[in-house]
Order: sequence, then structure tokens, then C-alpha cells
Amino acid sequence: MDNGAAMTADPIRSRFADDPEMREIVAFFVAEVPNRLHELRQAWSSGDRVRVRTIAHQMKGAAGGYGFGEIGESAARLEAALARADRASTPSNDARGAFESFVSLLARVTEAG
Amino acid sequence: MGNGVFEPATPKLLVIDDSEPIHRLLRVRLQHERIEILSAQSASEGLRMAREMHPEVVLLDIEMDEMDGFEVLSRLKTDPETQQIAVIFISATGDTMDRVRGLDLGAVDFISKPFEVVELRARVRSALRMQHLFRMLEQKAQIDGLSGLWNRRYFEQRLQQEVSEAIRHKQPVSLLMCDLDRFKRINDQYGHPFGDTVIERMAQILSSGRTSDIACRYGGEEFGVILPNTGVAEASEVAERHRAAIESQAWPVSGDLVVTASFGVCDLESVQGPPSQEALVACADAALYRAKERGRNCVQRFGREAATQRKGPGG
Repeated sequence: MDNGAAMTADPIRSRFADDPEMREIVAFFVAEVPNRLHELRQAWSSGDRVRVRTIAHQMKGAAGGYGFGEIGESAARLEAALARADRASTPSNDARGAFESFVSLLARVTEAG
Repeated sequence: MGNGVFEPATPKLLVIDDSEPIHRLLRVRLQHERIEILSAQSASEGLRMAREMHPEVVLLDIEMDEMDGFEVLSRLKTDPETQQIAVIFISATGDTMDRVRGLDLGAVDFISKPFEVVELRARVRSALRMQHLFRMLEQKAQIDGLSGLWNRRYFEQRLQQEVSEAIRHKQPVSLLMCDLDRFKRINDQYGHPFGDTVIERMAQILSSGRTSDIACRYGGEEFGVILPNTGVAEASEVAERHRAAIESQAWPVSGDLVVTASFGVCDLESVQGPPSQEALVACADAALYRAKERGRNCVQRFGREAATQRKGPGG
């Protein structure tokens, strides 16, 4: 796995990890994260901005509900940066930065913590 | 009894969102509410489910791939089958204009993603409460104030529905029209409050029959009872029981007052010309008219010249 520097950073744990009604679906959400990461990186490197934006949008809506507020906010910043880049129709460092911080946050997501 | 105010079964909440994690989250977060949660993963699936399952409330995502939530909402609002569903928008966009647009299009509320669990539950409950009141009001508007029976507007609507059902499934349907005999005389002699008592009692008798029968006040002292999936012979027996019941009723007035009623019965098969609810009403009415002609307090079937049900002792 190519998690790079993120491997060494602190793991991020769901705010609801200890909530009995949430435990099972949080685990499910976390288990899906590697797939999302893979998809994101692939879409980014192939220049598929639309796909990146869709994933960011979905994460923005869902992550907070699963107790990963920080991820949700980062996803919102990425979505907004991509929207700005679209309007400017130029590749932006802004969007790249937002993408990288989103991806490195996602890579720190863990179930147990 | 088929006429009481019905208490809806567990209310249904339809979630229309193209993100599976949101469905999963809502199912968990709303699991202790007294609601059945239905999930649609796309706009078109959501529209179809709204028509078929008749949910009380829809939670609708704004940003969906195939069709956005605004479009889904306006389609729900233009379809008579779905226009009364309470729609709550859910959106990750904090945009005020989105909220305004959603509310203007007829949404009842707006919930932001990520959900605040307590707020989510409260907003869903509030929408369900409102929907319940709305349905109660709607039903009240179809109930006759004095008799507690369905009113004429409902009668016509329901009869049309039952006639189409009967045609579609090749099943019988009967209509019983009934009129209190010499009601004006009762009013004149005992006063209008007593006349109202008679109407109320008649309503009780007509609605205490079989649960599938739909008793309505047609107007004044005239009543209509729709008998789904019932042939004319059985309908005549029902009418005869009602006739005997009103005749044998004792009244809190001096003297031996006997109130009677006349009945006309017809089933869809016996109507002249193409089957329709208008034809069915006309034929049951014609039979009722003949019951009056034959001295009242009797049951007449449409199209059967000779066969009269027996008359009561006084008739």
C-alpha cells in the first residue's frame, strides 16, 4: 500500500466508534476507505476531475454522519477548490493542495484507532 | 367498521439519495422511530417508489447524478398520486438560495448533511406529525358532520373507484340507495332535533353491517351504501336487514312511532348500457323510486319487476 507519509501520522478515529448503534456501520464505512482512496488517486492521475469531485461531494455529505467531521470538512474544501478551478478553467495548485490533504487525511482513517 | 377515522399503520419514510452510506446511516439513526424506512438509490427509482408505496414523508437529496432533487420535487408535486407527500430536502450544500428554492417548490423542511442526529429525528417527527394532521383534515372534509358517514363527494369518488376495480377484476359490485319514508312528516311532527336523531340512528344501522360496505350520506334523508365484491342477491339481503332494523327501532317519543325506509338495490351487471358509476346510481335510484311507489318500507331490485322483498307488518 502506498500510504506514504500518512502511515506515520496519527490515526483518525470515528467520533461514534464507541456508539453501539453505530459500531457496525462505522466499521463498514472504514472498510470502504481503501477503495475510495484507490479510486480517488486513479481518477486524479487520469485527470478525471468529475469523478474526484463526485467522491469529494459524497464524502462531504456522509463522513460527518459517520463521526469523521474532519474528513467531511476536508472533502468540502476539495469540492470547492475543484469548482473554483473549473470556473477558472486552469489547473490550480489550490485544488492540488486540497486533494493532497484530503487523501492524506483519508489514509489515516482507522476503525479502532 | 369501514367508516371510522382510520389510524394509519406504521408511517413510511422514503429516502431518495444516490449515496449508499447515507441510506445505511439513516437506517441506523432512525431505527428507534416508529417508521418504516424505504430506500431509493436514484431519482427515477424514488419517483416510482413514491407512487407505489405512498410514503408519508420523503427525504430527498438535492445533488443526484441522473436528476436533481428540485426536479424530483416538482415531479412529485405535479403527480396527484404523490403531491401530498411531505418532502424534506437533505443537502450538503449550505446554500441559502437552495433552501429558498426548495421551500418555494413545496418542500416542508430542510436538513443539512452531515446530520445532527437529534435534529434529524426531530425534523422527521415534525413532518410526520404535520402529515398526520393533514390527512385527518382531508378525511374530515369527506365525512358528513351529522351522521359521521362519508359524504357525497367521497361517495362519488369511491363509487367510481369501486366500479373500475370491479370491471378490471371482473368482480361484482352492488349499490344500495335508501331513503327514510315520510321524513318530512317526522320533522314536522316531532321537530328537527328529533329528525337529526333519526338520521344519526339510520347512519349507525347502515354502518354496522359488513366491514367492507361503504355507507355514505347521499343528501338529506337519502343514503348510499357501496357493496364491493357483492352480487345483487346478497346486497338485497343486506338491505333487508337494514330495513328490518330501522323498522323495529324504538324511539324516545310518545306514541308508537315506527320509522321505516325504502331501499333500491342494483349491481353493476344489471345496469342498462355500458357499466359506469352513473348508470349504477341511476338504476339503484330507479329501484328506490319503485320501492316508494309500492308503498314504501320495502327493498326493490332493479330490473326485477315481480320480485319484491317481503314488506314489514305495517306496510
